[in-house]
Amino acid sequence: MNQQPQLRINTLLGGGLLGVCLLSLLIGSQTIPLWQALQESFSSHPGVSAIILTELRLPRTLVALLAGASLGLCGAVMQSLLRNPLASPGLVGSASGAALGAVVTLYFGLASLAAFSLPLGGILGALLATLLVYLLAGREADTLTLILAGVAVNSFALALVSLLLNLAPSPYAVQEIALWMLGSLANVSRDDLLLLLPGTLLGWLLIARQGRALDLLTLGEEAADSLGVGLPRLRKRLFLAVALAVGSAISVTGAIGFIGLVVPHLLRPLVGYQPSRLLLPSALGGALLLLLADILVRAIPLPGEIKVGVITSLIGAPFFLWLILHGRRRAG
Amino acid sequence: MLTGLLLIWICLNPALAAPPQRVVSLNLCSDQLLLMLADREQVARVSHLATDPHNSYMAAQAQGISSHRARLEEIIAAQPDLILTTPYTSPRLRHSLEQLGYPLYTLKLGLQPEQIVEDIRGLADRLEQSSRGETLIQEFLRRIAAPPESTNTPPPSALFLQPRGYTSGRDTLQDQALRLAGWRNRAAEMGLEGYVQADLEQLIAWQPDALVTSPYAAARDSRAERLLSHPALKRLFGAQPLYRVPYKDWICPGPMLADAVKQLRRARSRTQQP
Repeated sequence: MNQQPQLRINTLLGGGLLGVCLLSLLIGSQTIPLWQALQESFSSHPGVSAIILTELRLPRTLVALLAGASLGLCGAVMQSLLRNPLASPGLVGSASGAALGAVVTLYFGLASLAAFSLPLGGILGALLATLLVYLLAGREADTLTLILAGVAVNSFALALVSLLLNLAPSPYAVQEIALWMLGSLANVSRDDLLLLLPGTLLGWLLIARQGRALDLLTLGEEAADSLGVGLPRLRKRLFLAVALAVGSAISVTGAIGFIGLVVPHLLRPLVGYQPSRLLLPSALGGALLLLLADILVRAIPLPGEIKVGVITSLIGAPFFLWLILHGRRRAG
Repeated sequence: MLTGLLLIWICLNPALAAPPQRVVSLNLCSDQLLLMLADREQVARVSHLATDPHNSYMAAQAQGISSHRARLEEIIAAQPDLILTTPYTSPRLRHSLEQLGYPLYTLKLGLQPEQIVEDIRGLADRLEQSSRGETLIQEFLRRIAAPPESTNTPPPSALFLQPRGYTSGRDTLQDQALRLAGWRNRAAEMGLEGYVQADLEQLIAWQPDALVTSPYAAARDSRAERLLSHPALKRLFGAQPLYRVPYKDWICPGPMLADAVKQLRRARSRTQQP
């Protein structure tokens, strides 16, 4: 397969992403003159429009971008690594584990001791949950076992999130259950962006250039091993990468569902089913989908914002169903 | 014959029966009025919030009185001869209590000063503590009466800002207190009604002269509370004064509202007009 269609997909997704970013800066409850706000934000006394642009919309857009990209990318990585089309941060426990870790650190005073303990909690939670599912299901697990183990760990982690929020000392904690279960980008600030950034970049860095190893893995574990892929090392490296990226994202946004599942699936046929070529488009596609969902959340005029995870799940769940039916028809 | 009829009439008319001796209050707001008006021996049980110093104006007085968490069994166990309810009492609980035949007295908990006075007077009469009620009412009215100099300058605007971006619009106790103290409530002016979550972009665009907040309890960590330190709020409202009014002063309609008004008047005299 030549490079041409690959390049075209990436350009298309990148271009779309750029446009959607611009749209995201334009949409909010207040109408602001974008150009004037932009000029103002460089002056020493920025006005209201400039602050809405630079302190509210810009961080929100960037967080959506980074978190969406991480979720899409990690979905692609996990599907390739576990050689299972249903593996994704949402289904194998990383997302709910991250939410649990973040909840533990935020509501029980650890996050106010040191700012970075919040993403650290998320990363640790994601790592533990993913490892747990992996150990429960066993290596070379069939789809069913993996999903069952994922379901068990997911529901356990989310039950703990709910319980801990009920026990948390803050009177507001109980009302934030939905935020952690469904995810929300409302009112994220540049502080949140700074919390999310290091883990995300580190995770991406660990994934970079592992595409070839993932390609070889499609031949089977033994074949890959004989071709020089150090499988245990690869596995450790990628699990750590996923935990870093997903844990950081989710400790800021809450558990956002379906992006990691849907995006790689949609794009896989377009890149000729080759894992290495799937990584970049999945990241771009994940960012695009989350940003679009978040714009939709802001544009729907409702008192009190709906959670962004509601939109991604509303898109994701029917797609998931279609996937099952389609797969069955093809098999049958 | 006539005396017999009179006796029956006396027995059936609650207003003429002996004053209630075992009163149970179901809600923080009725707790506080009860504790202000009743003799201590008249109070059987109050809600568990009554002893919380952040929420209850009468926390000290509530110490030592047994409390409940609005469970039917706890309420019945107190053998009440009067139960104070509010419009917010759970309908299921109210229905059960009515079926069991307990006498209920419902406070209206209106937000206007006249309605507050009406609630105090009604409850005081029911408890047969009318003179205590009148003293409380006169004191309350004297304290909230507008001082004459407050009409000289146009009122500055304030915004009540709570965690999660909640604010109080029209028909709230905060709106009432702000206006009594000579402020304009920015959220009410912008058409908000009740205690509602406002969008951060909106809040920022409103540009009030001052901010007022009521910390619920000792500062804890949560997404909601982190919102108050959002950089956008800090940059825009950094120069504006932030006044703290204890929540216990205006979480419930009652004489304590005068305390909130007093603090807001003092805050007003310190706030520069733009």
